[in-house]
Amino acid sequence: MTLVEKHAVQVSGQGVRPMLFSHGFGCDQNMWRLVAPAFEADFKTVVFDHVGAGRSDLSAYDRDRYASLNGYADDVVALCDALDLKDVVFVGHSVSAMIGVLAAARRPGLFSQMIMICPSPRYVDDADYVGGFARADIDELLEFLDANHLGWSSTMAPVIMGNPDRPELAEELTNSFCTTDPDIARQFARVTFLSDSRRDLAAVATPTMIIDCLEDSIAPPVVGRYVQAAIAGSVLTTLDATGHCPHLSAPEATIAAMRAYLDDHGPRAG
Amino acid sequence: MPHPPPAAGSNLDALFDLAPCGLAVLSPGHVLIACNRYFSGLVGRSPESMIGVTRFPGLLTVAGRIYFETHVAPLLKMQGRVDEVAFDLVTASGAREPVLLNAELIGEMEGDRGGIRLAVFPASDRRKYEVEILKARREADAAREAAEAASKAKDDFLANMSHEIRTPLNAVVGVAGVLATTSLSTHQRDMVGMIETSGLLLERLVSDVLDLAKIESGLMALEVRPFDLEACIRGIANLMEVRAAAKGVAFTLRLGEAARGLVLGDGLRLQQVLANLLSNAIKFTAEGEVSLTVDVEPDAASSTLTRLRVAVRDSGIGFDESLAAGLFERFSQADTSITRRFGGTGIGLSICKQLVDLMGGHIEVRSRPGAGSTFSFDIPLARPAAEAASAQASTQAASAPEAVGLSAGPGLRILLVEDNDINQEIVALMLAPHHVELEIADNGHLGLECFRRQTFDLVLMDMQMPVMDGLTATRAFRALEAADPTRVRTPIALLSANAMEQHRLQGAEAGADLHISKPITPESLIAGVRQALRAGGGDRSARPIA
Repeated sequence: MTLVEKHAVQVSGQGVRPMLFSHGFGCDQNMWRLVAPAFEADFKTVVFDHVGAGRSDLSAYDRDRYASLNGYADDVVALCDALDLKDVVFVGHSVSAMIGVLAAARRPGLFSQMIMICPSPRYVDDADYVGGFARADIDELLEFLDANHLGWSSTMAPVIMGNPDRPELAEELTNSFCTTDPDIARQFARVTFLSDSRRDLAAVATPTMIIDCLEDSIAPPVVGRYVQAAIAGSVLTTLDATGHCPHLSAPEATIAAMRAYLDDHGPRAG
Repeated sequence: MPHPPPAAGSNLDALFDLAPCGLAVLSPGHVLIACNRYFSGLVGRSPESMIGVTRFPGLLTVAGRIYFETHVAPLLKMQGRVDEVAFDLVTASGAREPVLLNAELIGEMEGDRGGIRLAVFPASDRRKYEVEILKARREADAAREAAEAASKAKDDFLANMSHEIRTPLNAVVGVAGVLATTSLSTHQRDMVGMIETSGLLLERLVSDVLDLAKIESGLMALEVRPFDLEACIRGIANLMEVRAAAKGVAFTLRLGEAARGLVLGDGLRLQQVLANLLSNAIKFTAEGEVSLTVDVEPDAASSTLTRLRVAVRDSGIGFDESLAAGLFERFSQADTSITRRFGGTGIGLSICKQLVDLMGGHIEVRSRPGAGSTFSFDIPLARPAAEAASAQASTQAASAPEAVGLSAGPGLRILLVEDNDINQEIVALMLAPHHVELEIADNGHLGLECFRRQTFDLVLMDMQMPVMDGLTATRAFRALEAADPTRVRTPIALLSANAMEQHRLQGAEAGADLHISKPITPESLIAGVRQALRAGGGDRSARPIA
């Protein structure tokens, strides 16, 4: 199995400069479907699934390797090597913005620019730091994921066992978006929501843009401001949008913000 | 076909408002813009207090909110709908109301800006049931993990015990070997022989039990490397010939023309299978003949592989063929009375079968009561590439132990690093006739001190020792040599009852030249010493080895 197969990588676009889109917790590469195509004319766009998500190779999941965000960062570096990507624009959503930070630290110069969408270096409040959640909330989330996956598996069970009357059901389920193995989802949730990458932000030397939303209960604006303050020279754009996924709920505004930044701060601009 | 015209508006309004489930419409930003009575009843809030103000995720628990924002909202956007997602609504009083949620995206063509239509159904009972299922599943998982841990503990115990048993056994066999070289009466010599034979048998049993445990836990791995097929087979045949002769049974080896030269495989494990089948054959044959036939044939299915065919035939007691299949199962002999008459645990054949299976081969038996038995097996064998073959052949030839005693000459200086005083004594006894200057250190640390102050021709190093173990000490010895260019590299031979491949590899990585397996016999120790001196290289190889 190649890395391309392992991560269900899809490369598109007519440009030379690569733009690598890294999805966050809860979904897969499909979440870029409204944004990535807008950059195909000027970039070589690359979307992929982190191991455990979407159509990635589930057998490649290793609890120890993915016990922290480092395993995911190693994957990103390996993927760039395998695809021979250089001068990369890294676009990471939510926890994947931090995966990008860790990858950049591993391989300085790999990314020439980073775009973080609704990033959060730490979701749990800590002393003066406001992340938005209490530790107990995260513990409850892990329980909650169990309840839902069990709900799914109980409704899916007849389908999996073969429902001769409705074969289309199985087809529909296997094709559905954001599919995740329940056990992997739990561990990724734990790794994501208990991560603390605040110390890593100061080391970021890659020119960085942060996009956040006016109303986001997962990464509230105060977190976006924290990230901007922590990364020297970074630029923050707050969209008049609601929710944690502006690339899905407000794709035009997200594209426009990314374009404006890339035009103004292109490494070869000027 | 066109839809029927809508019924009177009041009916539709009533259906919305009085439907027996919670219904609501959300704006694209997930703010409540309409809800029915059931919905407001579920959350314990008036519609007026929520419409245009409350975001739906705000009515969920924090965990539910995270899940909604990171999973459900993207999913809705991409596939248009979600079904039966489990959430807890939080009522105005803080109570939780378990529900199942169905939601659908409103197309932008339908509403002016789109949005979400959703329905929620109470699901308290179902949730309780699911919690019970989860609990049961966790308990089952925990029970399985506990069982696996217990099984692992058993395997570890077995491995440790086998090591513990081998250490004193080493002493028994070693001392008996030394004793046999002294002047003894015939009667005494017989008794010493019995001690030695019994010790070796016990050693075989311990190895078998450990092998079986390894096979069962999937830890048995073959060490595939080039070996000389003829030498491998003749080695075992010679041993067995002696045993057969002692019993007055004729022994014949028929080695096919093609059964020569280098092949790729696990020679030691092949020898183990051969030894097992042959000793069985000799054991169950009171008079007559035991024969070993070996040949190599081209493999029908592959051009690069050949097939090794082996048959062990005896004219012994034989058995009813209906018992044949069961013979290869654990703890099974054709007749339990056999155990009483001939001894043995009955695991030997089981191990043979598992090893042959592991090598990708097939083993079978034909027999008739009173007319002897034929055990035959075949395994695929590859021939190594020509160049690698010649290189390996020369190494093997050079390293083949020679059964020659150490002759008189200028004394060799040997450092023995070994914590067990009986083992110290045994090595000293075995080396005593060879004019060796033996220095003994009780552990790796003391050994290092000796090694720092003096030079030796050879180091014999135990693996498991207190204070500093053999591997650490070996690395330290090598580091000492590396730091001092005036020092010549001293060969180091590890002595260990831990004969597993990983230990050999660890030894080689640490810088040892050779691994001498315990229990040691005078022959294996002397051969090992000679081999280590050669392998260690340097000008000492030219020196008469005592």
